[in-house]
Amino acid sequence: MSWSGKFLRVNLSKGTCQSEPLNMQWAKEYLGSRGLASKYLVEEIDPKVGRLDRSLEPWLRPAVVTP
Amino acid sequence: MASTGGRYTVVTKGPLTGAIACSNSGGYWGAELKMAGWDMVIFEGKSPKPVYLVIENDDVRLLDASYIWGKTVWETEPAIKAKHQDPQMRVSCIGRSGENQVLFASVVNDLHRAAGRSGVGAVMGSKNLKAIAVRGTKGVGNLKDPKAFMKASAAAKAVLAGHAVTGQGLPTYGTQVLMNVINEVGALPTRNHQDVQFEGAKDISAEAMATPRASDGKAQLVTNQACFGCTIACGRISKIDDTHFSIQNKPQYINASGGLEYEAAWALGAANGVNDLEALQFANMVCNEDGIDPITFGATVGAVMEMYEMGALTKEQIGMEAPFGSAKALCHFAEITARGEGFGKEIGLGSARLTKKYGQPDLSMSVKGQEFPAYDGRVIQGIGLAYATSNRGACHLRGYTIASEVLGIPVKTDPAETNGKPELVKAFQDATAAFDSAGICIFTSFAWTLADVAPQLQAACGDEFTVENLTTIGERIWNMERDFNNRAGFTNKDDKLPKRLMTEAAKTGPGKGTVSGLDKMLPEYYKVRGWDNEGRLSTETRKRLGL
Repeated sequence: MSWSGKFLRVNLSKGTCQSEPLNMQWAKEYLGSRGLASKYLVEEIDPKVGRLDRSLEPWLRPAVVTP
Repeated sequence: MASTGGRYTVVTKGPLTGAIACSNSGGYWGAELKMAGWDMVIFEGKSPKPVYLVIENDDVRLLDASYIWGKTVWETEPAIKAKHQDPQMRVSCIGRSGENQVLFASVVNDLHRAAGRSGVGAVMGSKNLKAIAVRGTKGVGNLKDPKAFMKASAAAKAVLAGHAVTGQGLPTYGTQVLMNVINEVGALPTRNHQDVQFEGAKDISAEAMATPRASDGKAQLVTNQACFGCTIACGRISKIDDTHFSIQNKPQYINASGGLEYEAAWALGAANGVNDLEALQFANMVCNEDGIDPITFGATVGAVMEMYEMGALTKEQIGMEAPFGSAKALCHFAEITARGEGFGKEIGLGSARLTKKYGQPDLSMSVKGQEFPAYDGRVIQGIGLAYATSNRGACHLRGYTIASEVLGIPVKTDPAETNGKPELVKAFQDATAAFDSAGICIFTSFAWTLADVAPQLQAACGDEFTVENLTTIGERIWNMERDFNNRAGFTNKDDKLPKRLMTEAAKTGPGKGTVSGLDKMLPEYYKVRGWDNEGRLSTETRKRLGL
């Protein structure tokens, strides 16, 4: 039930996988899982993006809180 | 560890709704990702060809998925484990419906646990991403005060064990304990919400699942099952009657597997007037096998059956006769929807698009394009308001006021009353956002309040996660989601219930004669939320929540 402090960013178009530090300010404000992942989503995509838009829609899978 | 703390969440813009989508799942996959050392994975863009991601601690690779593309969930997981010669790998993946972008495709892990709603599996399919396989052997560190955490989590587990719902009801009967309860209060939507009580409820209830069958002397229910670290164990593992028509010459369905949960049993059963328990478990297995949301699927079948009975859809269009109560139609629809064949492609659109296409938009029992779950929103006023204002479309998991309005948790409120419901809905929505963001199962909230969650979070993450702060965090998250939807084009006009719930009164039960009081509750709800008349965040609310 804590943060590792890093997440994985996978760019499927380019085929790259990168480790990035977790934004700990956001973690304090949005905790993890639903809240934190949604914060990343709203910061990174345009809400008006089309359904299943291929370039802008990040798909997040957080598992911030486990033992 | 915290009980139930092994869940993971999938967040995206929902293909079914166009609103923010957020679905979570239990099983073992989430804990495995955490033990590999990762808090989250963001997937950007679209792969030029089908791929899957393998995470083995710090070793992360995108690999060619051509050997699993076109396969079901049940074929994909063992194939990946065999390929990597690692039976302990955990796999989260999509089935054929996600590949085909069925708009309510789910993401499935551990064969039958699913991030089920809003079509998150279709987004994965659109990215040519078949699966994420994880093996994590690092354990979980970084706890602020491990001793205090163990103490707090042990105390919280004792609360779960001592509560009637989480300690007895859910482990013994599963969520299906609700079938007879909700039917008796006259809030079990039946035949596409035409009725509020189902004469076949007892045939598809928890009690029926535990009763030996006439055919083979065995009960459908085999055992219960817990997700990673869970001390409730509500999951059901069941086996279909060998002689049932649905599984003849289909060996993959012979063994025991996940189901039935209450929502699935309702959507596949009461919503279509089908009381054949074996047929429901078959359709449920197909939903797991190929990754589709049984709620939206079942509710869409309900709309199809109503349209068939009124003549808006013909036998020729559908490919078979499809009256309410037809177990044969239900089983066939599950298979063709999962595979994207024939009329299954139409069902795969969901009820909002399908009913509109065939000229009957009022027959879609949905909000923001997502179908209702298993509680009637005109009889139980609070849940109606919760559906109308849910940020991911109609949903019981964004503010489960049933706990208060039916079960009396934490306090009993009158389901028929509209006064006080805006406040009740807001309180449930905000607390739920905090529970979800702590990564724990919402079922803990039958027994826990945020006062049970806070000590665990404080020991693990930091002193600032007090009850008061968690309530604010929950409210902040709710408003952030709402703001996203507003910017996506949603307005107060989208916070509405179908005409049926507003004008066609409940025909039977304790709520006989009632319709939804949404028109009265909604303006009050906006006020309680600190939003303007059109449901937009006020400057003051933004400032207060730091948005």
